[in-house]
Amino acid sequence: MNGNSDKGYLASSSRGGHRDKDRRHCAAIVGYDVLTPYGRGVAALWDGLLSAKSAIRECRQFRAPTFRSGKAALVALPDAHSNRSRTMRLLAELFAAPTMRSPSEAELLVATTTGEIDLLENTVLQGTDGNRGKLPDMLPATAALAHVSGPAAVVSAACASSTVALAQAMIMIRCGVADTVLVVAVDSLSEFLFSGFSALMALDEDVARPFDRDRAGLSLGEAAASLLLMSETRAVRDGYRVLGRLTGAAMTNDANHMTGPSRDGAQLTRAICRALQDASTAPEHIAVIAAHGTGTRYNDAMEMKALTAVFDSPRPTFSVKGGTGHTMGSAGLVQAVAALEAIRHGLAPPTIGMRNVDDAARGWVASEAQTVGGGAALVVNAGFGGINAAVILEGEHGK
Amino acid sequence: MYIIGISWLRENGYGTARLGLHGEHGGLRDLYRNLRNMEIITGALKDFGRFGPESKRVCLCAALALHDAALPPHSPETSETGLLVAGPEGAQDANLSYFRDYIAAGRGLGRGNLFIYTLPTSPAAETAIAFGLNGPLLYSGRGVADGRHALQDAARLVAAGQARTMLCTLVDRDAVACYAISSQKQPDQPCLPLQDVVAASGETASFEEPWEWSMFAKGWL
Repeated sequence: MNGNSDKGYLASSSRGGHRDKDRRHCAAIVGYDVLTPYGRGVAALWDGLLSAKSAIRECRQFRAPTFRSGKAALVALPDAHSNRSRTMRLLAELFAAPTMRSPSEAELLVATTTGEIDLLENTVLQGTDGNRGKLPDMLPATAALAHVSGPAAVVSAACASSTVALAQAMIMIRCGVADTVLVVAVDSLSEFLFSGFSALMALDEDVARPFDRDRAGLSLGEAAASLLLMSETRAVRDGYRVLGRLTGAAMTNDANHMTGPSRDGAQLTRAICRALQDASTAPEHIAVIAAHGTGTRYNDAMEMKALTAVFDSPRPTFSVKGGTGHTMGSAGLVQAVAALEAIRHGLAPPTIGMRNVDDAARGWVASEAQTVGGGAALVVNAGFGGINAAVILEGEHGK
Repeated sequence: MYIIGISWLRENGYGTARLGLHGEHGGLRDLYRNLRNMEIITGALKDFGRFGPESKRVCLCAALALHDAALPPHSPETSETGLLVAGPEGAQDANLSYFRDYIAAGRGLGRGNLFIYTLPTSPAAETAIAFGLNGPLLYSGRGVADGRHALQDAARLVAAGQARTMLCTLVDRDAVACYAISSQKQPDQPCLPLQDVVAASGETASFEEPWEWSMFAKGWL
């Protein structure tokens, strides 16, 4: 199927308007939190994005100066947990002062691409056992930090890991398999990542410039985030305040290339159309778009092709990656939190790093904040291997 | 929800459940040649020789599963087919391979052709490119050998309308098994109710023998 046929199906099914949905089929968002290079908490992320200042700096760790770019966005971590992997230190800091109470029996989905990769680095450098740092091995410690004991799984889908995990969590709640799912996303910076992305020539030598006409690559970052999803029934029963809803999701694959996105954006278009269909939401109801926006030439071009194919007119669109860096598996959840805040504040944050907007993004992306009206948010991610994922969020406008 | 095809691949042997195909092979390259000779794989797979070992295993097992499920590659059917890869190892071997090579080369520059395989979804991505699978693509790891959860995760994606068929591929060090899960029966072809396979899986002693699961297709053997 191509994107155009999906868009046609969407138009016929949604009758050009936003339909009231049966709330039982939505996953209620009852809590979320982030730890980013801007600091701990949602307010730190939001203030950082609105400041239009990048958290990407010269990085002296991870042999960064050796590589194509010596710049990255690092989280400032206390030394108290220094005997742990960097990933666990990020999670420990995220959960150090919890802002939401997860039911202990909540199911846990951990979205990541490389997990505790520094444990593997150490085994290679020290010539010891090569079994450390496997992705599923991080589950018990993550569950302990999050104070949950339900079934747990790692979900990995390259840079779309968070969005795919959100989609899975929503489906689990919709079909009644679970009434509470905690989605945790994390990826940490490492020499492994720096060396790899440098080898792929994917790094901007300076700071990433998403959707800029002169963009030259991505900047690396790290983050941890969590989002608690609950059935509406459970949320009401247990007295949780509903902060938003995850109303639709879709995942596709380009099946085209291991690292480069498909130039025509057809499968990303399809993912967005299907997510809207899944949410019973017309494109006109989308008020803001949290784009993947890595700053690479091909991703940003592909993404604009897809957005232009779906929407008849521009929407306030932003990328956080010029500010936080590309936080890999946690990118989608950071974007989701930013999108919820965008709805709440009625503002799309500036796309940090962009100085001269690419023609394809003109009218969509801006280097200053944009007003956001009532409506839903679209969060988009793409990843190596051609993975595409899109979710639709509704939030509390003006609250 | 139905299982419409099953395949398995071990160090020296391979097979499918519905069509009853089985044989020995002298390595993955040998198996690739065999599958091409049998026209289970039609045409050369681009860059197959440069795939990482995990990618080769997953790709060949998926080829067998698609054949067993009567799903032609690069078709409207596979355009609505996704891949879920599950297993305790993730991309561990590929990660070690990349980083050891990087260290051995003096820690100056890694090799991009090794780095691209350092994601647990890389084998699935190569498989999707090889056969035109445009559905969801993801890795799921639980730390314990639990193929039942993987089958249910994949089935849930089909039930939710995210794909018409999911190839649930269970991977461990010694074997790969691939289950084609669909919400629709194939016309005039036998299939297994998923719940029967999931229920029977409780009888297995370990995930380490995923190929044994294909033996639960009793109606087919």
